[in-house]
Amino acid sequence: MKANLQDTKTAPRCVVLIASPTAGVRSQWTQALKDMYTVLDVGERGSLDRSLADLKPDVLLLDLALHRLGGLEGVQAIRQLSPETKIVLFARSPNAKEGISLLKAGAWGYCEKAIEPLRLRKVVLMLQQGEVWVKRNLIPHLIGELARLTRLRTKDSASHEARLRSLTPREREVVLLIGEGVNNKKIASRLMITEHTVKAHLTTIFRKLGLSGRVQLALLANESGGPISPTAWENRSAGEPQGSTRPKSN
Amino acid sequence: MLLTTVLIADFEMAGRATCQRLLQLEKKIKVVGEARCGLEAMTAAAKLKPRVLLLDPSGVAGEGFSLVSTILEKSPKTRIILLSERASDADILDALSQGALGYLAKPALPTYLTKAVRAVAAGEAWVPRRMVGRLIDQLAPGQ
Repeated sequence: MKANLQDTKTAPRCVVLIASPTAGVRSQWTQALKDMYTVLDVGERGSLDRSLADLKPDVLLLDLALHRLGGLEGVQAIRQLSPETKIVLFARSPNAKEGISLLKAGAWGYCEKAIEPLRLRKVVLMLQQGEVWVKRNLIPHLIGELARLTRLRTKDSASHEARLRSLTPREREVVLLIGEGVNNKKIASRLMITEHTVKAHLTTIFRKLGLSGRVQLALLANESGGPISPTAWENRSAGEPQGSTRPKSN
Repeated sequence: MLLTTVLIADFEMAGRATCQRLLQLEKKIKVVGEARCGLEAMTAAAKLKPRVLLLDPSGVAGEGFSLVSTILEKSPKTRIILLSERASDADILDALSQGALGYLAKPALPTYLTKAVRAVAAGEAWVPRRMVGRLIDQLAPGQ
């Protein structure tokens, strides 16, 4: 180990620490990387922690069989020992849930333990370029997680329902029809009012909701998952056709 | 493998024509409709429930990306690929956070459109590699 460290002084190379309880894994990964990087390996928890603290390697390739980590805390514990180290985690059979939680906790990569040597070289190369490494099939799950978090955040902010509450029942009827993609002329005939009155309603609606056009309005109407609460329908005129063209909501 | 149905939503005729031309040669891909504006995209997606929607939201002023989540409410199984002349990383992230699964720059259409449609139809995502890191940053709490 000492000899290796001196090497890095004469020609500073990226230091990669390999940690796995399996000797075969350690030697395979070392073989894949040793011509390009200064590679060190450890086989147990105690020496992992010591090596991290002493060496502060650029990259840690960690077999989850050595250290289960347990998501956030485990990754953070490693980052406390060596904040600059980029951590890649290897699982025997990677799964989306574990991957997402480890990446969220600050890991730079997550892949299968049986990775091919050439691939492993590419992983380290990507890290050096500042990119994370995940398998392609994990990406849709990451996007799904982002979409889920975004939905949660949006729910917290002012709901569309609340904005729509400032409208009169008649205005809400107009909004509903706009949401169905009905044009002004048809809205006028459905509500038995003039087209001019429809336009007047729209002007008021845009002003109340702070919107600039009917597409935005249609989006809003559809987004709130039913802009017209059941109570809003109580005021609806008796003469109006009951058959709605509103697409069936899912 | 089953036929992959595709809906093309682009307010520019040239954009729709390019996609049509590139996809019509594919035996396993069928273009089921075209939409010229956000409203049309919404109604057509709700009706046709395409497997893949190619969506250029630039015709929808200001609210382009909320269109993505609205369409997904109407047709939850549709996978949306965003098309754009040039989108910033922030724009792409916005679209992804609304549930889009892919992004393609329009100049890259001839090279990648069919690949992207196939990948997304098969449940993969189609985003530039560099976006993966940005994506994870968005997930991490307080980072």
